[in-house]
Amino acid sequence: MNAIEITGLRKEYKDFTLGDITLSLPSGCILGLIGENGAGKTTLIKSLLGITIPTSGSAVILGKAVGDNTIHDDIGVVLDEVGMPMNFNTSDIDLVMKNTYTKWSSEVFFDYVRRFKLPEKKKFSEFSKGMKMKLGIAAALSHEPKLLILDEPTSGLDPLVRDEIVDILSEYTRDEEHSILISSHIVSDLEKLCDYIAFLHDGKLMLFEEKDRLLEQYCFLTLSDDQLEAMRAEAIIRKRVNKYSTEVLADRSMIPNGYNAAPITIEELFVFMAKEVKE
Amino acid sequence: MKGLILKDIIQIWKNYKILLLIELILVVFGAFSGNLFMSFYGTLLLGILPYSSMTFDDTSRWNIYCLTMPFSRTQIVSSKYMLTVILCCAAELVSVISYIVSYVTNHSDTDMSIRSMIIFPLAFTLLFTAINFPLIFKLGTGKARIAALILSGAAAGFASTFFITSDDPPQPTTPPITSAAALIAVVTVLALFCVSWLLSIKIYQKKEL
Repeated sequence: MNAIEITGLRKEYKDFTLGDITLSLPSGCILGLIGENGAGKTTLIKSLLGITIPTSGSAVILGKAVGDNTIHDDIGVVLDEVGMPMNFNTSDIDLVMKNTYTKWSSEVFFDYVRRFKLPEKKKFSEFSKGMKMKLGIAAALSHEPKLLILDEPTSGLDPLVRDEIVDILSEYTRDEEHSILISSHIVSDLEKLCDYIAFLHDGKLMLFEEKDRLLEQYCFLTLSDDQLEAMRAEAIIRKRVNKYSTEVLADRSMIPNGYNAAPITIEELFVFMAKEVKE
Repeated sequence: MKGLILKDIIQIWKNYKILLLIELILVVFGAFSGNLFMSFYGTLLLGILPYSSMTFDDTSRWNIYCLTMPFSRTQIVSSKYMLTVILCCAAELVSVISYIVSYVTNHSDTDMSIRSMIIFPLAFTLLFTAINFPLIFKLGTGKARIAALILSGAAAGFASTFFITSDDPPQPTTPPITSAAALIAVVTVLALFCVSWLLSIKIYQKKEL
């Protein structure tokens, strides 16, 4: 079963359109949604959660159509701004969540609170940004969710906290039934974590593929004019012409023998594809 | 929905506990001294606290976060109306108790004063809610505040007219027309409250956050 199935999802605003997005995330996998600020990552996530209403298309989460609020019992969500009431402490949050989620576990919640070294008596408004995010993750993980949806959970955090969050998420996906959809513009975080990568750019789905396949399939080449002419046109995914050479993002399976292909990182792949689209 | 109402009650208590305790002290003092204004005022105060809880929700982004939880939009809207009803009932209970205490200790009793104490503040708060909540669900608390100031003024004008009429110099027996007017006013406000509830649900179903 797929944890997420999105078919032709489109959301139109006056000055921005997201669409048409079609992708699916198999159960037990992690999908990283990569895109620059304003690419449409949050709009897509809000559409999946029923916070915004898509103009057209559909989405199914854990076998249920978006809009069926019972699916939220099985989804843990962390948005870029964790929306806990400002003057609540961890006990208040536990009390409210206990009366919200059918499978809420106070024991699991306070285990995370202690593990993350979060102050139990302090008001949420007095937490640092990293602490707020960790509390959001603790709450998201404490009701046995089968799917985590995280919108920019590492944005604005220092590298240590970001690394800690990546570790927590890796631990969560040790269970084969657990899936994650995570968005970020910090590509390096997603590169460590994800099985699938989706590139969003200017509201369009530029690429959706398994991460390992992307890394195997694409490579970087710096070519002279003669070498460039010798390349098959379909092998060239994107190119950037410089004064003395041409940088090429190419399909590794189609480059001629003897060419010096360099491996590519997901971040380089995204930047190259997004920038060249703009140009 | 229990989680939503519980969250609002905790939030209101944490933000306003000093104010509520002062109000309670004044109600007790008023009941024993025969001045029931604070009981009357308490209903107004408690009844409008759900409005302020919606401002907190906007500020903390709870209004978006709660949509990721197993609540329907109908439940989210209904929780605010139910909170208003719960708080009004609590305030009315305090009013009645303070009235009884005042009657026993001071023998102060007029049909007009109990009407003023119980019906007017209840009608005012329900009317305040009925007017303001659809605006908040439509416009958000920021823009709705301006609209609410204008409309609250109008509502207060209506309510004070009713209040002044009802507080005319006491008469030996209440004229039937006044009781009927009070009843009509209450029924009208209750109907408006229900219409507002349904309207807010309809507005919130289509709300983009």
